Amino acid sequence: MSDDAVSDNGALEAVPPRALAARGAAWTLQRGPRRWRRYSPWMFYAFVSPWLLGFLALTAIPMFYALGMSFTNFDGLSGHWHWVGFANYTKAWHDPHFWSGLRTTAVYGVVTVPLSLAGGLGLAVLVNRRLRAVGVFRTIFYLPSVIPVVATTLMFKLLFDRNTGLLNTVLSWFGVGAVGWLSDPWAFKIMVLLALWGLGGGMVIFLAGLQGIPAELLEAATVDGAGAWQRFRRITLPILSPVVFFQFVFATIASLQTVVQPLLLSPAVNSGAGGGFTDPTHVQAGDYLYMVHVYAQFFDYQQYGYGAALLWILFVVILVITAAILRSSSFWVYYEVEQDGKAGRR
Amino acid sequence: MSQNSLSRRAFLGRTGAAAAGLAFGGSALAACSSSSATKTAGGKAVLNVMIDNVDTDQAFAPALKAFQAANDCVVKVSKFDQVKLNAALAAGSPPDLVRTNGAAEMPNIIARGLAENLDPYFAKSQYFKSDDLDPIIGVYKFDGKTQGKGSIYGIPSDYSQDAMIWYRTDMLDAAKIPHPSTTDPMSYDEYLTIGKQLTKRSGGKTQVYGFDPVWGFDNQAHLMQMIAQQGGSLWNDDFTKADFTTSEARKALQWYIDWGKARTGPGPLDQESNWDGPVYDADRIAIVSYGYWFSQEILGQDAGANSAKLQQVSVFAPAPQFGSTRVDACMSGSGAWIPAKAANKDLAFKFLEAWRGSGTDGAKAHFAQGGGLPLCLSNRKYLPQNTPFTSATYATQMNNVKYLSVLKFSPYAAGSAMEAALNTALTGAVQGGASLDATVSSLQAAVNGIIDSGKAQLGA
Repeated sequence: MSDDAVSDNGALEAVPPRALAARGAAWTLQRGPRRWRRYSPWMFYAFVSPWLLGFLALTAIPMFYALGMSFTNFDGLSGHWHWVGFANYTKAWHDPHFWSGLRTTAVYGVVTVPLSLAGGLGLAVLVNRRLRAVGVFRTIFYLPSVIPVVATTLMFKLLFDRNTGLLNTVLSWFGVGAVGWLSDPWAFKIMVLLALWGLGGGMVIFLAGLQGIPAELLEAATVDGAGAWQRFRRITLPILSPVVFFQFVFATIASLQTVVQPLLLSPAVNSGAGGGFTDPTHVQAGDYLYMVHVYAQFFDYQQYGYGAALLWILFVVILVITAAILRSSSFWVYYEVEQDGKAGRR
Repeated sequence: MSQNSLSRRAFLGRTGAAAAGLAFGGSALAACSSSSATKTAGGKAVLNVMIDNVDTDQAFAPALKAFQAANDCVVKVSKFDQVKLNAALAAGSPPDLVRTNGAAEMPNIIARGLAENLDPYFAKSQYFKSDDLDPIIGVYKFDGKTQGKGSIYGIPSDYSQDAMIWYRTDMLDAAKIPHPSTTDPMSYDEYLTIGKQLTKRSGGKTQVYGFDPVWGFDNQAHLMQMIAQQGGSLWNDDFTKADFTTSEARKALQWYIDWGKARTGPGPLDQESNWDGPVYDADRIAIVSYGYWFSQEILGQDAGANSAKLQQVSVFAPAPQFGSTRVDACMSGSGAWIPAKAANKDLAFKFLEAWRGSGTDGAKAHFAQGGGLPLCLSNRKYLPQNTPFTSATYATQMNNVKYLSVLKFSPYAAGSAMEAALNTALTGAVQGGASLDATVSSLQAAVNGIIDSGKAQLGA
């Protein structure tokens, strides 16, 4: 289906979608003897300039600055640095912690992303009903995602502390010995649990998607004899697939960038008075994610150049994974509105 | 399309060029964002001090106020933040005074040309006289190659012999263990043995730790001291190589692995959410290795209602020994240095005088709290001795201070990097069961890499 535009003589004319898209925001509306002035493209760019300036100053410039830094041995402190070419990138190739961090992060992503999607969708399905006080349940499920991640992580640290934590205290009532929840091999599982603490955020987005599904479709399916699972699999999921796609991409990127949780879950550094700060080398092996290794390069080893190289490698990895997800979406994401002249499926 | 309108392609092209151009000028933006004001709106000088708690220390508050009035300035205090400091140094607008952990950091900072040479200031100072300076000033001395010699680049706020021992007489009495001498040191192995007897566990939880040499607190310095006590040295003469393969180093590393596996203190197998101070205050450590400054923890607010009891049952003793050579070093000596590009160096040095100079109100107020030993020998008389606890602690310290030595750290290895390498290697050995040979090998490789990077940066 093409869009229509009004021609000079007031008649409607069909404008091919491609031509319309090529004009960008500077679309023309001409009608009868009264002609509207064409909006200058400057108007459009002026409105987006605040975002554009922010993007340049806070994203693009730091990224290219880091790219330049990745070819140096800059230590973050002094003017004593030199160009080292691709040495930082080859160093990463031979760094065992680079590979172990990447592997641990991949496992973390593979575990937490499906769980968070399924959990968020499951909660949304549960609260997408006309029940009494359903609003209360929605609030209860959503509240944990509102708490800042630092507060939540520190709370988990207190709850799961081996010697003083609430969980071990409760276990001791039943004669179960204390478990080192924050040490390997449990540390990774606690970190996963922490990631699932914020399921309510995904629930809200899925809920919005569920409430956009036309009720008559589900009613018609019911009349035709479809069961609950069939309705969910054949109607709800396909219509919800764009939302799932959106959540999938963002959850994947977020999991690859996780750094705060493993740092804060690690034991305190036993320094002098007022000590107790975190340090990446105190992070348990099971929690030693890729970004923790990056953090250590910057703030423990003062290898800013190498750290910047690691960040750019991660950026490329994220790009590749995101591109793969985008590519795959043509097989499982369904759009109600035509995309690129094709009806239904993208 | 209007002739005055901008095509999308042209816009994207110009935007990309702008982004690339601005990226190369990114340091200029960093300078704008991180520069500190050096003058107030009224024209008063602003002294930017990046030292924790200077503005919240109630004891120092009157001296701070007097300093600002006497020098017609405003002292702007910020908490130490490595990220902000890095940005400020890179932008060429650092604070006027910067906190440092001292011993392991200063050679690297000085070698990078970041710190101001304070010899001219000391030569003129009325509050820091050369014959009144404690040998601890060696931590802040550097002659271009070796710590402990040459020009002065900073001062310690205070210092302690950080491997000394605090033990609980009530816990030792309950276990029928004789009290360690307050004049003659015991060995590390003896403390480990006692520590195993004093450690109490129930239901998988550690209720009381028997002995903690304070894992994670300047591990490099502790290791260097243990090696020196055996008559060896971790570093070669020009500090370009650290050798962990010597028998002295291997023995010290093995001791740490044995201690970690014995679980007599918070370590790789037993993690605590806080540092040892609150754990000690809560009656959960029998023997801990901290210096004179820890008396302030026992006396202070953190101990709370338990302070009175802790004063009665806490005894201060010399540092444990790992060999026949008595070495009892200061491992930190945290203090402050003036960046070479600071805007108010003269005022910054005056602040140091008011802060810790001989006989100044600031120094009197600080040392009366017992937070550490002073740089100026003449300030020792202000240390607390008015209770049985403080007088006994003072006596032990004064008897032990003659064994003070200044450890020499490499200018090519940042202290934090060495700590990270040691922690990673030893944690792997304790948790993962790696052999001593494998631990030494991985540690040696990591430290060699750190030194090579440092040498490349400094052009050595």
